[in-house]
Formats: sequence, C-alpha cells, structure tokens
Amino acid sequence: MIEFVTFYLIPGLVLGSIYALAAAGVSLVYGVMRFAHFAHGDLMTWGAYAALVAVGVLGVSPWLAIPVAVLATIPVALAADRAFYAPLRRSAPAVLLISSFGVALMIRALVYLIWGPTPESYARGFTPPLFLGEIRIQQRHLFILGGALAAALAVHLLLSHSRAGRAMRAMADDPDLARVTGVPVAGVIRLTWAVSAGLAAIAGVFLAIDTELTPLLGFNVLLAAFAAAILGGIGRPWGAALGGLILGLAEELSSYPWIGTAPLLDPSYKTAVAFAVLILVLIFRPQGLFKGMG
Amino acid sequence: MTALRLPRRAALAAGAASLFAPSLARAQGEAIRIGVILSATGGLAAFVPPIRAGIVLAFEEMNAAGGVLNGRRLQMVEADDQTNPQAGVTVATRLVQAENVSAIIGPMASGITIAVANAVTVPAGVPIVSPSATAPAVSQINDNDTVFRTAVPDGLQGQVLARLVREAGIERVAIMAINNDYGRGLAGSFTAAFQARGGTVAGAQNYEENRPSYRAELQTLARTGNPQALLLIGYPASGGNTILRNSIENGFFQRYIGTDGMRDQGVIDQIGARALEGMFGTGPGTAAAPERREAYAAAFRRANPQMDPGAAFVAQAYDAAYVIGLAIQAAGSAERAAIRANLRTVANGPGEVVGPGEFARARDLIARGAKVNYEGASGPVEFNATGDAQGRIEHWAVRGGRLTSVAQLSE
Repeated sequence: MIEFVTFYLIPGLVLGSIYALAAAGVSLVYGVMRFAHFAHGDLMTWGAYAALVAVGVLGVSPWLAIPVAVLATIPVALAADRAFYAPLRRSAPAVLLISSFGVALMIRALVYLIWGPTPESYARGFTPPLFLGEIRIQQRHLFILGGALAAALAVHLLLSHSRAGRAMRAMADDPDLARVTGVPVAGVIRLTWAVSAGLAAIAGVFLAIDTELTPLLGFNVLLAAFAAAILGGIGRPWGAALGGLILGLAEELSSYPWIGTAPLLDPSYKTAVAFAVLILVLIFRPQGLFKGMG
Repeated sequence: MTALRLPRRAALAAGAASLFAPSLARAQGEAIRIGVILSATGGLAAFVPPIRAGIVLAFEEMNAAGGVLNGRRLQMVEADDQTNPQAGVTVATRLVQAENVSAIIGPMASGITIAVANAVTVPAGVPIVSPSATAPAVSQINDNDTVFRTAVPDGLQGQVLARLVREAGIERVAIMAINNDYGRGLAGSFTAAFQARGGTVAGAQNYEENRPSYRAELQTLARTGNPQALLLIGYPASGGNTILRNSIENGFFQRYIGTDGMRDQGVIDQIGARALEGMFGTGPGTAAAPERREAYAAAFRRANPQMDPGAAFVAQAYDAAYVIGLAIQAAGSAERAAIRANLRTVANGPGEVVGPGEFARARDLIARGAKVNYEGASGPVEFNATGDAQGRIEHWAVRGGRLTSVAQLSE
C-alpha cells in the first residue's frame, strides 16, 4: 500500500497535474479560436528555459522564477498570433494548425540556438524526500500538486467570475453571436493567449523541475495534452484538466502489479495507455467527458 | 556551377563573388559534396558538437593540404536526423537525390543507420560511413558493401562490459535498455556474455524514450531478483538522465553501470558527482598508436579549445572523413561506386602507413602509385568483410566527479 502511494499514485498525480495545466491551455485556445495549437508544447519549453535564465541571473529558486517564465512566454504567444495566426483567422482550422506547427519549429530552433542541445537542470544534486507518516514524497511534488491546483482555481475564477472570462466563454459558445453583441473580440483573443501561454509556462517549469530541460521538453508531452483535452471535451478547460489527471494516473497505475507480482502492463507500453483511454472515450462518449465542441 | 542549378539558399550563402567568377571555380574543379547526417537535435544531440568538430577538422586539414583530385575541395553538406529514423530517411533522400553527395558520414544511431541504408543509400549505391552506429544488426544489412563504420560493434562491447561487471564483484544486474536497435542489441550481447560468465540478469526492461518519469519501471526492476546494480543502456537527453535521477532519488539502486551512449561528462555534471561516484562502463576505445592519437588530439584542441578530443565517437568521426577523402584520391574519382571500392584499399593494410594530418603525404604516395594504409585517431581502422572497423573498447569510470578513462581493452 505504501509502495503503491509512493511510487505509483503520487507520480501519477504529479504527471496528471502537468498534463492538466498543458491541456487546459490547449483547450482554451481551441475554445476561443477553434484550432489545435501545436506550438503549445514549445511554449512550455520556452517558459522552462526562461525560468532557467532567471534562476541563473537572479539566483532564485525555480518556483520564484515562474512569474518570469510566464511574463517571458506571453509575448511569444502574442507575437506568434500577431504575425502568423491573425492573418489566417478566417482560414480553415487545418491551415492554422499547420502554421502553428511552423511556429513550434521556430520556437524550438530558437531554443536550440540560444541554449544548445545539452540537457540542463535548475539545480544540481538531490533533496531527500519528506516523510508523511510512512509515505515518501518529494517536496517538489507537493509544490507541483499545490501549484497546479492554484493555477486551475485561478483560471476557474477568471472564466466564471470576471467579465473578461464571460466574454471568453461567449466567444467559445458562438463567436459570431459574441461579435454582434459587442464582445471585444481582439481583446478576448489577446487575453486567451495570455492565459494559455501562462499555463504553458507554468506546466513547462513544473515538468522541467521534475525532469530536466531539453529543447524537446514540452513537445514530448504535447500529444498527451491533446489527448487530455479531447478526453475532457475539447474547448472545456476544466474538462481538459480532469482529462489530464485521468491520463497521468492511468499511465502510471497501468504498470502497478494489480494481479500477482508482475506489472499489469509492461511499463514500456505506458504511452499507449493514454491513447487507449482516449480511443475508448471517443467510441463510447465522442463528445468527451464534458460536452466538448466539434 | 551556375546560379540556376543551386538551391536559393546555397546561392545566397555562396555569395555574389563566386557567382561572378565561374571560370575560376571551374579551373579548380567543382567541390566534392560529402553528406554528413548527425543527430543535431533530439536524444543524441549532446554528443554532436565535438563529433561535428572532428569532421570539420578532417575536412579542413584535407582542404588546406590542397584538396583531392587536383585541387578540388571537399564540401560538407550537413543534415539533422533529429535522432529519428523517419527524419533520417527524409534528409538522406535529400542528400542523395537533390544534393547529389558522393558519400555520407553518419547517421549516428544504429536504428537510423539501418533505416537510411535500407531505404535510401543501398538502393542508390551511396557509400556511408557511420562513426557511431554500434548495434550488431548493422553488420547484417544486405548492403552491397556500401555500409561501413569506424565504430566498433557492440558484440565486443557487450563481452568487455560483462567481464568488467563480473570483475567488479557484481553477480546480479538489472538492465534498463532504450527500446531501439542499439538498446536491444547491446542488452542482448551483454546478457549472453554475462550469463556465460556466471552472472544473472535479474530483470530487463526496454524503456520508451522521452517519458517524464521512469519510477514505475525502476520500482519493478529494483524488487525483482535482488539486483546489485543497474545497467543503463540509453542516451542522456531522451530518458537516461531522468532514469538516473528517479533511481537515485528513490534509492532504487546503489550502483550504476553505463555504456557508450551514456559516456558523457554532462551526465555527471547534471546528476551530481557524489551520487554517481564509482559508476563505470564501456565506450568506444582507441587502439591508435600514441603518436597518431596525439597528432589528432593536438590539432583538435588547436581548432576547438573548449572541446574534448576524447569525447565519445569524435576520433571515429574524424577517421570516417579521412578514409572517404583518401578513397576519393585513391579512386581518382568522386563516383560513388569508385569511393566504395576504395574504402578498404586505403584503410586496410598492407601499404604505406599514413596517419591523422598526413593527407598531403598520402596524396603524394598515391600519386607515385604506392598503396596507403590509413591508421587513424581511433585505431588502425581496418574494415572487415561486413565493413566494421576492428578496435578497442574503453573502460571508463567516474572518479572524483570526472569521467575517467581507465583502460583500452580488446577482449
């Protein structure tokens, strides 16, 4: 039981929280602008490296560097929107998707150019885990779980209790109706990018704290983030967050020895679990757990 | 060499001067284009800067010595395979069909080398020389004798590693191996040799690259069969470092063993010297005569003061460029088939021995009708019937936070 919590449940929750933050950002952009934003993973990478600069220059811990990461990532998203997505706003979603793939490659190339391909980390060495009773947990895992919860609450409050959030939801429900009723479309789009890029930066820093910084850091979890967004009902940030948690847990728990002593599923097939869950959901509940948009 | 036939980017890069002086270019002959496919991005990217510097050094030396075939320059045409077989096939197709390269150095990874050979270079008859593809399976490609490597195959590495592990007093190991040709091949050759020496493989996992966490895999291995050490066969940036971190943090294993894929000072710098002190493993060795090695190392340090000439596969990459240059000179032609037919001629004995930095002497010998035998920076570089170089395996260990070369072993 202790083993289950320490090595399977907690890692699953941590991974799930990171997926959840990434997926919420993807879902938000999809809701307001109706396209799958492929550069989201590379925005995560960008945020993580921005925090690395802050850690190096200011000498602060990566947790305190998160605001820097957020502030450094938002302009990138806004610039990409201005230069590449805005001119294509009325194009087919596939065109936007492909152009976002181009943006992803540009951001990645920039990361390679500035920081090089060698893996980096925020800190050297190791911190021993905390003991809660008999359960071992890394301090950073507690912070990641808490941070993800706080970010999710902030997004929820923004969407449900602020005028801007209501405008975003109006855009998501019916863009044309929102426009004719006087919703400031340009402003809502900018806000959407800001929130989405901020979530991406936070997810990127969390992921880099738990693993290490590589130029493919965010891209490697992008597919899982999309799967989580679809699982939760695309365009529904809360659904995406829940989808992320479910996927993270499913991946880690699938290799627990539920029956006998051998892992239920060989851990090298973990990645496939996420997509098996996704396919099952698409078959039995095509609109996602929460009713997503088409 | 007209502007119209060049891709636009190349024309821009070549600059206006060369476009307005085509007669000069023709007098010296067109540059001979040699493809270089490295994994500049992706899991193996950390290895690339010194390897690329080694290749650049070899080409610069040969060009400074007057080039090949009466003053024609050797020109690198670089491509990035992203440590991904599909991308490797795409860029190889471009090099072979659009860039019309005479030969290719690379790719680095075994799986990518096999994919590129089968899909592109064997059908097109382009000779390729990989500096670092070590999987035994590379020898088995039905390649019309076009696939060569200056790296020593993992059959030998597995045997040497098995002996070192047993000599370290370890009887039971768990293996985490990357799920590709390299990981499976080396895990297989190690397991066979280790069991023959009375060792037990307590558990083995092929792991998927680029996962954010490997705790479940490690936990499963750690409690199966009471292993004394973890053998990690992988690449640092695509999971290797994460595996070491997860394992050390949770105390799954106390001792670590690595292979050529993890032989990188950067790993120790990232993970922390204290946790990895005493880790040991195998890597590409040098069987070079000390004076040849020193000639290469001195030239490399002059050109790249920040980089290590002893980093993994750098000497092998340098040698790959050299044997291609010499084969062109010996063939008297930059035709693909002619290069292929002459690679063994210049690399294998008997013949006048030439070494790193001695391209001008080699060319004079060839001009006088002598046969040359290149003995390189990584070893004597003798290609056998399947195009594999015979060489040594390095025994390395982490001592005082530095990756230290302990011995060069041939068995």
